[in-house]
Amino acid sequence: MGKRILVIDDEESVRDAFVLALEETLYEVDTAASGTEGLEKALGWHPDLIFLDLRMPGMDGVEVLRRLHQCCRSIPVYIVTAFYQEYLKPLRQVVDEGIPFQLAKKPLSGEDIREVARGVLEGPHATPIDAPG
Amino acid sequence: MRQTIPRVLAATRGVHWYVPALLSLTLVPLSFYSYLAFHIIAELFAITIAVCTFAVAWTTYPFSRNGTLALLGLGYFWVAVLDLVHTLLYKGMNIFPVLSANPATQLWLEARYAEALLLLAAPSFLRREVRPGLSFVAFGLVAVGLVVLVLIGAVPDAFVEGEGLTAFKVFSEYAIVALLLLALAHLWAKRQLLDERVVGLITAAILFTAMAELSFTLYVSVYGLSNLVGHVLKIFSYWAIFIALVEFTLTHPFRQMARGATTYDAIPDPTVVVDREGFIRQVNRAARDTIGVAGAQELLGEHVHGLFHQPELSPQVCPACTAVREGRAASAIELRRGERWCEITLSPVRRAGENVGAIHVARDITERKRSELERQRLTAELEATLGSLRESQMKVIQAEQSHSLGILSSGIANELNNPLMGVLNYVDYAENKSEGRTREVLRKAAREVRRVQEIIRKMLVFAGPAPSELGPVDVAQTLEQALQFVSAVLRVGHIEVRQEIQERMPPARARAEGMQQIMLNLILNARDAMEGRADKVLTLRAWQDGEWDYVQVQDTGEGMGAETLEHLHVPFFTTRPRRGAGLGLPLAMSIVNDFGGTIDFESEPEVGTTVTVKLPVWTTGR
Repeated sequence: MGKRILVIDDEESVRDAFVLALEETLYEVDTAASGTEGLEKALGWHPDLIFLDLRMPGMDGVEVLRRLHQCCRSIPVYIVTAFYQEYLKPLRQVVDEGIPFQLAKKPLSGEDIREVARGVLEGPHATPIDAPG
Repeated sequence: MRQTIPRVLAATRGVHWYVPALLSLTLVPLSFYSYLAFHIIAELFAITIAVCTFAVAWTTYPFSRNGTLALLGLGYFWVAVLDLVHTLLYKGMNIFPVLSANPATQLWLEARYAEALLLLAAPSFLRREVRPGLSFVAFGLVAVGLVVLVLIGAVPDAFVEGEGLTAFKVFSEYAIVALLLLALAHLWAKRQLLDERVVGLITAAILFTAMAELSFTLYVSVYGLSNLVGHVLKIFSYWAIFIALVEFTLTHPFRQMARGATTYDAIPDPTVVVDREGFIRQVNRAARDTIGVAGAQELLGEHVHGLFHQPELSPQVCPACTAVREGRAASAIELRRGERWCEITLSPVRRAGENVGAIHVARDITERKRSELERQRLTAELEATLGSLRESQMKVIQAEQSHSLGILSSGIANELNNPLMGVLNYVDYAENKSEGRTREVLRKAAREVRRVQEIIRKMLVFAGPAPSELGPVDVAQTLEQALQFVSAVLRVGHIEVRQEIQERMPPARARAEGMQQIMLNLILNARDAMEGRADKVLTLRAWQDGEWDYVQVQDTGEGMGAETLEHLHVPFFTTRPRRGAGLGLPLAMSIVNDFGGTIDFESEPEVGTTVTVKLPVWTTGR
């Protein structure tokens, strides 16, 4: 049984990007178009990794991150955003609250996505080392 | 009365008594040689004085309008004519066939009667208009009549050869003295209306004449001593009258004018009266004080230009002098004399329509001028300040605009990243799924999409928010905060953190937010580099050396090869956002460069990487 990856992003193209990138892997991918939907799926579907967008209408990514920490603490969350700087403050706060997360900047290529997924789901040693930054 | 007499006597000072006195002293010795010569000269002198008196009274009456003095002047002329006839008929003259001294004596008496009556009547005309021409003719007729009376023998004998003076003569002398005393009383009754000095002088004249008459009562011979004394006293008497007229009609008015001139002294500004050539005719006190002389005499006759106008200009081109020459009124002619400024106001003086000069007021306006210049200077300064203010405002506006542009373009760039991610993956997917030419085309499409991605990255680097001003940043504190920010991440990653931070480090010249981003970036990079390593030690150092603050982040990660290190210095070197905050080293380097600092990398594969940030120490002077 493949591991499950949930993508929470309001943009279809981004959701598609993840779906297409992971199509030929063993991972199961599901998507949610809003924070609320994402939380429901996280609770009902029990994913092993969540890719989370920050800027979404309604509940934003930071809030989703908090709630995920409450309900599904074990699921690693990878924040994928184009608006890192705008969310610097709330993210800092989240860090202070002791909520772990990883951060990736859009755009991610298919290769990027697969590497990140493998890295998180199969352990760090599965990822070849690259230059920092 | 008791106080009046000394005052009147005091007032007769400065009458130049020495003139008749010297004359008398000369004549008296002559009388011993030739009494006739003495008589002629004495009489002629008295006559001359009388004619002068007449001349003064006649010419000044239109101005003096003093009837008393006018009548005295006119009357004394005719008295002098009688005296002249008396002299010509005098015994021994041999001009007319006269053998007796009687006619001369009779004429003398007539002259004295006329004089006494004149003195008696004159004070009544103080306030009355007299007609000088008519009076002159009337007096003339009386005088001629008196001479005729003597010639036809209608006058009683006054002197009989061998017998001496007749009773008529002696009685007449007393009568004349009485008339003179009456005249004196009359004069004193009216003295309030006359000038004190004039009263004093006429009093003296009356007394001299009275004494002369008394001495004549004593003589036995027309060549006797008392005759001599009488004639001398007569000279004094005439002199007194002459001086009285001169005093009242000339000296007094001139003194009045001088006193009038002193009212100029009340004018606080230097004021002079100049003639049309610009020569000074009158000066007030302020002018004397300004020039620094005690008396007006020192300035009279000087040219106004040399004293009040701009020395660099010649009088020919000096605006004030030109206005004086042309008889123009002028105001506010501003002239500079060395350090001082004065403002010339000219009021022309005209006589019968002709320019005769001007009243020239020179007001010192140095203070006003100074404050004017000061005001001009301040205005210029203010304008300069306003200019630079406007300039810096423009800069702020420009900065604001580019800042807004930055926000806008970074917003756009970020917005683009979402669809870009979609396109990137659609194309990748399609490329992977296709074959042959289609695959080739899609591969090219993917390449182009990555180019777009790269362009957007660059845009984000350059179009970041406008940096705020550089200021002092506490390096140790910033490092501490950054560490706190990622402490959870580091804990999760089982990374040991060592800190070697110098106490009381001076602040660096930087921006707090930029500094924090750099620290964060370096720490997260270090963490990423140590991912999967056995020993994960992150060492943070901070110290000061001279004018520089140093921050060092050392990891025990996989390290970097020479090629990668080289690439780090290439701007926008594409690094994969597989891990980390995604800020990127190029941005960190650009920020540090902006602070005037540098970033150095030392790395050894499989040992670790040391990143050293060098920042200038903040000094208030910079």
